[in-house]
Amino acid sequence: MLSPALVWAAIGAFLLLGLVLVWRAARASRGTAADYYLAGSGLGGLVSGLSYAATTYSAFMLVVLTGLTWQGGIGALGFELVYFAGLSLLVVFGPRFWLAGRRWGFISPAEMIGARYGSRAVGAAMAAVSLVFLIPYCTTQMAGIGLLLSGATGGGISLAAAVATGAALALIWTLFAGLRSVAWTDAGQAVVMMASGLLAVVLVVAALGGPGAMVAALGEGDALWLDVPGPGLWSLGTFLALSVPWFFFAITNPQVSQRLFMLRDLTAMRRMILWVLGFGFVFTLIAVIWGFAARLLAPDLAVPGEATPALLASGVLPAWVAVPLILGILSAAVSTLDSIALTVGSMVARDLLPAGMRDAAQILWGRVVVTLVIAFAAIFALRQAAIVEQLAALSAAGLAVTMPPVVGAFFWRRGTAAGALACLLGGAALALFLVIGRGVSVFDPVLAFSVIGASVALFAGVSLLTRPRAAALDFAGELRADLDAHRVW
Amino acid sequence: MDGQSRLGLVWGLVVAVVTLAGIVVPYGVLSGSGVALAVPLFWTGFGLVVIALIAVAVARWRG
Repeated sequence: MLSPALVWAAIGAFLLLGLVLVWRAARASRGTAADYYLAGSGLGGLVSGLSYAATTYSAFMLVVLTGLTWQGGIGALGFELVYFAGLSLLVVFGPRFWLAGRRWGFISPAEMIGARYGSRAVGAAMAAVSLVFLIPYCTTQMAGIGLLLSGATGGGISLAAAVATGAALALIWTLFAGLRSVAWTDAGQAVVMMASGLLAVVLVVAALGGPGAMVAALGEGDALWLDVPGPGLWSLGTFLALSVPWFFFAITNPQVSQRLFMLRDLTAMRRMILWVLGFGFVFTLIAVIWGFAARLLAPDLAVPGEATPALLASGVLPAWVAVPLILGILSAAVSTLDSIALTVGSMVARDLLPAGMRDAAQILWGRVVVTLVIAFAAIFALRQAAIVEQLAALSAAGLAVTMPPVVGAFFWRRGTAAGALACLLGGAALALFLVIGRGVSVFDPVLAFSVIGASVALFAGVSLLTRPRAAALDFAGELRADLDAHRVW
Repeated sequence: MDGQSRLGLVWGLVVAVVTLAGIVVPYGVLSGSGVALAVPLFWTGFGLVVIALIAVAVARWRG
């Protein structure tokens, strides 16, 4: 077991470094809503790329994905890489989001979609849907922090203290300087995630005798884990149930799509995407190899979510490696949590509250919402820590209902506000009914395919039965010349 | 449809085929084949191909 004092000391040092970044970010702030929520849309490719990566790759990776590998084997790699293939959507939608943001001054993705269909109600519905389905995802991050710190210290750090620590860090990173401090701390945290993950995986593979010996050991005792469907978890149905909604993550999750508004230019966007690709691929391999190592070193766990804490507490890794990895996972969780909280805050301020508020009021409301979201997630994590995997995956399936209106915004002029509203509200209601009312598991493909199918059908069907509003914007037509000028398909 | 749009369409089709292959090949061809590490190596290669496809597409952008 790791000493709680050592872990607290590392977190203290981590906090001090983060405070320096927050202080510098606060000094650069200009006090406008666009600056607080988008860092003035002036970020370059490196910081944006690391921030995007840290936001996307959360505690899910080294807690849940590792657990899924431990439980079901190599299917976890395929699932994550099909999500990774979904980053190709950035090639098509990234420049369109950015150009629309520049031309009309959008701050939140929901605001953009509402304006496209000429209806503030559409923006409000998208914000509400995001709020409902992102809170479980926030809770997952909190639960991950709790499992990690309490598990690695053998309960020396209580679940409540661990969750409170995650909440405090996320609040500090977010409240004072908004996206600028979030992006800067994200970038620093991404470096911690990658460096600590690489170091830990190299050492744990070495402890197992090297890559050849590790593969041989898996081949002898756990050969099924290197194939699909593996020992049972990764049936084709489960694989599709998880992969399909995650494929659309880049355009359905506002905490990442909002990052497309904050870039300086398309060169910065290109660099951002390349950084995310490199980071994502390596970090995915780290998480899966880590899961296989846990399979060999800690095969008798009660639940898959204990794989990483058990490996950290096993003594295989020295404390000077285990403690940085704990900071890396803590970074992954906090960077996702604060980004979601800030995005939800911006959507409440811009899309749910009355239009026309002064910038200072928008920032104040954002801060209130950030605090509430983080507090809610902390409380929910303490009550429901055992359902980490289910909660993480539900958010992807639920947010998939935003995919048709987003795609239609740029590629289907006949899409209407009524169609978008029917899709968002009907799809979300169906997702909640299936999971809460009928007990359908997120591992059941019925959930993902029903929700996506119903959303597409409602959007297309209701749009064809109604007419676009006069106030609707024509993204396809208005952005075409700029897209051509930038050589964007 | 002009040449640029056609190129974009071809790129999109290639991405769709590759993504589909990322599911069909492991589950339909490699599953139970008995070839050691076939699935892990395929998916690693799949990830690298995805990176290459996206890199090619964004390389043509003008800032």
